[in-house]
Amino acid sequence: MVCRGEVLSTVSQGPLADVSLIDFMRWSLLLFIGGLAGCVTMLLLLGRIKILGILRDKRTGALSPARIQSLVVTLAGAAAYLSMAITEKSGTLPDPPDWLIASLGGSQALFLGAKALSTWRKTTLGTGT
Amino acid sequence: MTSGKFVIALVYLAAIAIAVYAAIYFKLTPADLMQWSLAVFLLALQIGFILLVWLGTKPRLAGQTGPFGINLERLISEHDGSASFSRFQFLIFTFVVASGYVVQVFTALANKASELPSIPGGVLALIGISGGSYLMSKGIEKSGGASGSSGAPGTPTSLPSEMPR
Repeated sequence: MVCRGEVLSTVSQGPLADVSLIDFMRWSLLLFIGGLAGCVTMLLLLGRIKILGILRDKRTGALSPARIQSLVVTLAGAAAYLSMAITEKSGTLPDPPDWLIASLGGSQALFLGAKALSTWRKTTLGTGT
Repeated sequence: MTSGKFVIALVYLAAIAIAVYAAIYFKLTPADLMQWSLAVFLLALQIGFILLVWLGTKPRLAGQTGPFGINLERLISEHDGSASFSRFQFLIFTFVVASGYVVQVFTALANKASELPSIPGGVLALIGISGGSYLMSKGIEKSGGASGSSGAPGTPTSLPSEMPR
């Protein structure tokens, strides 16, 4: 009996001896989220989920530095926070550090600013460059 | 009885047989059996969902749908079929926060906590940045009008509007 002290059970004998239901549920849910993330990642890499042109400016077709920096910061920030959240032992989500929020916010602001500028140029000047 | 129904009936029978065998082998009480059956059923549902996503997201001709499965081909696509960076980063943060929360829920349960883990303000800020960026991106595109999204040189793909979204 494990969950909240008394509710969930453990198997008492056999190959699953001492495997608690709470551990089983934890690993099955992690398997689900990890499996789904892995599946989506593979589908992205294989091109089955359309990702072509994600780093290009929609209006000019050129590679967009704002998108590239935002991608790098997003992936790095997500990896940093995920490692913090998984290794936290207190049972609460860790508060992300200020530098992480600031860098992600700044990166997204730069991406949105570049997008807004490109859109403004396209609509007012007739060119996105 | 069609072959499909026959297979489903066989799967049900096999599941019941495995549950009965497990109950006898592991000497489970009826309450334990119910809990473990539900846990295994949930695991099977989760694996089935992932398989449906994998099988359903296949390259196919425009307008065609597969025989079965969940098609995520346009998971991060705009209405015109081009990939969207704002949707992509929103997807990443959704996975990250969901994964972290699931881990902490079970850590809290293992610590015999009586409540679900709270979500700190910083995490809400992260979600807000991600979701807000997505919404603002959509707003910028709308403000740019339809002229910017059709026939633009950077539009990488163009799928017909009748494709499932």
